[in-house]
Amino acid sequence: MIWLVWRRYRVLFALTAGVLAGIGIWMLMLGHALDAAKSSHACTSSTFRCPIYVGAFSLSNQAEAINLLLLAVPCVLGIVFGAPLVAGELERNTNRLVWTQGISRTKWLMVKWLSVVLSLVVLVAVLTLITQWWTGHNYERVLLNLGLNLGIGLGRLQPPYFPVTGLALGAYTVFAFAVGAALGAIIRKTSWAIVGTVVIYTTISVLMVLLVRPSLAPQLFVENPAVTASGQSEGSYAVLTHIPYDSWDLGFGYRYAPGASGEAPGTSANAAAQRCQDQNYNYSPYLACLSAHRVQMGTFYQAGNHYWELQWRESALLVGTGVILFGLTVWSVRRWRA
Amino acid sequence: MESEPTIQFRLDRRSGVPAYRQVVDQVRQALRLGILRPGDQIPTVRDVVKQIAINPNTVHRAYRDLEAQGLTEGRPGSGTFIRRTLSKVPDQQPQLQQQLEKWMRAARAAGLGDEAIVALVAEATESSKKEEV
Amino acid sequence: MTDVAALETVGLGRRYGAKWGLRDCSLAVPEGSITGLVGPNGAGKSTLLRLAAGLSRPTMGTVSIYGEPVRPNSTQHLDRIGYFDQLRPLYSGLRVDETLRFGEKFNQHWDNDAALGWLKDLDVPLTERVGRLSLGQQALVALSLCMGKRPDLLLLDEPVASLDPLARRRLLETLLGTVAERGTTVFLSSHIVSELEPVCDNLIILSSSSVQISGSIEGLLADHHVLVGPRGEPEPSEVEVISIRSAERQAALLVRGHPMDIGPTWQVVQPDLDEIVLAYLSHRPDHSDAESFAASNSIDRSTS
Repeated sequence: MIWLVWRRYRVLFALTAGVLAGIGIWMLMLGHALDAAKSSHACTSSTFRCPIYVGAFSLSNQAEAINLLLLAVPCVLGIVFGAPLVAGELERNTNRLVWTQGISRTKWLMVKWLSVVLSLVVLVAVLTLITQWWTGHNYERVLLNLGLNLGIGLGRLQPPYFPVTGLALGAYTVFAFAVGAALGAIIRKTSWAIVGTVVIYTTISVLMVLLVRPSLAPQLFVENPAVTASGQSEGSYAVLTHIPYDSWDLGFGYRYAPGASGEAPGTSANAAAQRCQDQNYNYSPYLACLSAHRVQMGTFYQAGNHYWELQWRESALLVGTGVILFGLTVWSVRRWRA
Repeated sequence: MESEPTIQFRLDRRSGVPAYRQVVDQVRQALRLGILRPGDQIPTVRDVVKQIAINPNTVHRAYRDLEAQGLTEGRPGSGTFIRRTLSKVPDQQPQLQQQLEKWMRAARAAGLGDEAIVALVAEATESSKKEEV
Repeated sequence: MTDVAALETVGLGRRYGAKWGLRDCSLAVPEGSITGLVGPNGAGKSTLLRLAAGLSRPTMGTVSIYGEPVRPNSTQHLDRIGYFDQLRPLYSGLRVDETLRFGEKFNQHWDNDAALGWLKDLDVPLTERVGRLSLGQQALVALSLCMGKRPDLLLLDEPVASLDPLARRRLLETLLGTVAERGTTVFLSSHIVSELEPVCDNLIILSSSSVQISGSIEGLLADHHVLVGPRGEPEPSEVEVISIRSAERQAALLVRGHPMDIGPTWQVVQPDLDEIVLAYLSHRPDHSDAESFAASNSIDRSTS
């Protein structure tokens, strides 16, 4: 059976390998170009100030393009390989041929699904080796482009880097493929399965960033220095935070100081801060109110050194969902009747 | 090694004669014309089916008929072979032909048209079949 | 010859939404026979064959192959059947020899030499892509996939439809040659009676999703007669009237049974198989089946 998968997919696999190799080579070339630019303008990763390099814009545009391509890779693989996996056979009626030979529908689907997805994972894993190396160079791009670091780390935990490095690229590929295959089996039309896959994949990717990944590991907090310094001018909310470099800034927020709790149990720090804000129009009394309630104002972040922990958990979620979708695909195929 | 079939069968679908009958008749006709002689092998069921695309059971039935008529015998592993000729003596034929022409002149003189003559001949053929061995 | 029918259905039915594709179908295909399923398009022939092949699940009733009920997700019956779908699907990108290899890999018992032999004899180019073959050649490849499995029962849905006469002939020759060798049971459908008549032992007439009548072709021909007589004459009671065709002064009744004492007013004629089948299609109130069926079988509908 694997012979048939190979025979029918060999051209597509070759093309995919070629395209991914092309992206990889582009990354390598661009990375070296960025290296050259960096060393010629005496920027190092430890200093945050750099003269803006005019030629960097073209390099940075290319880098943007590559980042976008990389983000799209799992989705494209999902619609090219996943959507037609079952739907293509149903549309061409070859299911009537292959389901009346000597093997069961379940076995047929299992072998086909697994052999295609594993091949994709292998191809994508090779690409990941290059993307790991590449993301290091993108920090340089930022430095060159902005010449000024606001102290907001553009780190490994955020898009566009997190989903295309480590285990994530492979896991997102498995997920997109599983979505495509399941939709194809249920809707029975490749075209609609493609649309559905793009919609679902994009939605899940966005939700992952906004809701899931921030909470996959315990969040850390650093208090805004303005709170602790006295004499801070009123009305100034824009402050420099000092989250560690390579961390993921999750945004401004409130929390109770460690060990403290609200006066009424169950009152969230946000609610307490809101009440202080309502009661005190001016800044200093507001700060004093916060202090009195042991509410801290500051920045939540995920530490860069949690990278692998987050990678494992996010990948596990994605692959786990993929397995459930596989089960759904099997159910749909078994249910099909002429 | 498979050799070429000895005779070629034809199926006339329009004639109204059942297929198995046509097979029997064509073997008999081949015997009559001397194309098949005692000891010759008649085509296997498979060969017949390849020549005229009919149900193999039909061919089996025809061959059983021929065997019942004593014209053929099956040799297990080898095939089906002709056993004897039909009981027609060849030199009687010119005589019969003369008799037929005489009858035909009489029939025409009596005013019988083509259709009537054919009908009479058909009737006589049918009734004589029952007597034929 | 065993007692178990190669294919048996009891009260088999399949509903699509509100419409029944097949209804209350009970039949048995004897082992070693070639049984034809005839009826107009949409009568339920394909539905029946797909139910037998396990591509569909019955809404009611049962279908069994050699005594074992057919279950869509089990492979038990698949080993014993060769199924030929009406759409003749094949993987068009594969070459002919690769298609046979596909058959080999997906089936437990596979006779590659036999399959290759047939196709070579029929001048089908083995290294050509299936998508580039003619319709007739594709049908032959699809049939060789069925027969290479060495099945006990062949289920063929309109195997010679839209094939040119040469292709039709080659397909039937190959099929019947194999049947002659191996005694395979064949169940095939068609809407052309003349295609089935020389090939089949038995016939099942299907119309409006129900079995109208079934039996051996010889038996059907022996049991049915056409009575021609003056229009308005009362129907004889000892025979079952299947259909009536009337002109201004004459009527032709197709009846089932043996007309013994029906008087001098009726002339008894032997119908051919096409007429018998058409009569059963006209049996039903829905005559549209009969109209198109008659057209495709070139049957003259006027009375004699």
